[in-house]
Amino acid sequence: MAAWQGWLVVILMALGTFAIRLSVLGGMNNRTFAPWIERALTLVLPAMFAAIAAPMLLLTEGGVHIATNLPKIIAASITLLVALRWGGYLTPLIVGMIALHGAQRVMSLWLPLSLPSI
Amino acid sequence: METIPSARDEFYAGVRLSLSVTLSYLPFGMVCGVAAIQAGMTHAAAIAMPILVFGGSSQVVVNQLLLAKAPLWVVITSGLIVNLRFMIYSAALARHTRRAPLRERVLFATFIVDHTYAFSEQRAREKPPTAHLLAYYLGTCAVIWPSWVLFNVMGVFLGLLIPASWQLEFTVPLAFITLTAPLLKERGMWIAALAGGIAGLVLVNLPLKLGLIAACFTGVAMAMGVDRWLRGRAG
Repeated sequence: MAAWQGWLVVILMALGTFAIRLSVLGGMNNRTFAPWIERALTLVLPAMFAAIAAPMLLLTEGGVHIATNLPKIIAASITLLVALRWGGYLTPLIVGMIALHGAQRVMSLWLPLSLPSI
Repeated sequence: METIPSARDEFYAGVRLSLSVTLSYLPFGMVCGVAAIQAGMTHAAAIAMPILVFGGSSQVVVNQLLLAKAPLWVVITSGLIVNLRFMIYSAALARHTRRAPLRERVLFATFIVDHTYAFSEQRAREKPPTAHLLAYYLGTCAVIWPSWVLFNVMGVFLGLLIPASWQLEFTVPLAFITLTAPLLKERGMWIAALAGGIAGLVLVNLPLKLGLIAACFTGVAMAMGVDRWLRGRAG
């Protein structure tokens, strides 16, 4: 790839993304949304963020694998509980990471035992 | 008597809160820096990308397509489609800033990413409402934007420093959970999150992350529909 091609991508991506970001904010000059749009926009964050996070927690190689991802599911649930109960951002994150490694350690201990020996 | 927070207080509150999520995009930023170099970008262009584009998922998609030698118009269109969700955030933030002058709304627009949007969405809903949402917002941007650039630069020059066994990339979904939790205070929010999450799983294979936008619409529509239905039954 020539250097100019990389720069062309960076500059057009920057301009296009800025236009996307400015789209609605730029046009909202003292105007208001219809009430149902207003209500819909209050619901955007939980819907979008759950849609971003869920595949990272549950999908492995294109399918939903609960057993494989059990440590991730446990860690994510603990993070959610800590965040709901005590709030904050860093503490639930750290607790979740500790839970992930802990759950993986525990599962690696008892999973081989539960498999039939050949 | 409680003092009303000044613009400066709000700015530092934004700085403080956003510092606590920087860890969650450290590995992702480094991956983006590495990917840009692998795709054949010069060091300068690879550093300009996080500064000017400032959107991790689109940076990854663009670099993958460049690596695959896709035509440039495909690369750019695909990257922009990935960033379309910022238009929804732009609309959501517009609810809180409609009386602000254009130059302030341009500032809001410039730094829209998932995390900056999330912090201001929460701050705007807290009671009593702040008179200095822009200051708070810029406080979060003053941390998130430079640290994103820094992590990309680390990837460009140092590669992936962090051992994979630490699984730090798992902090990405965890951060999205911690950013959603404060809003889960009413039934509609829970339904939106549940339906959005399920739709996100079902639609994950749509190209260019279009599944995310479709899942967001699904979650919002479900929450509004179920809410209306339950209210109709109660009334």
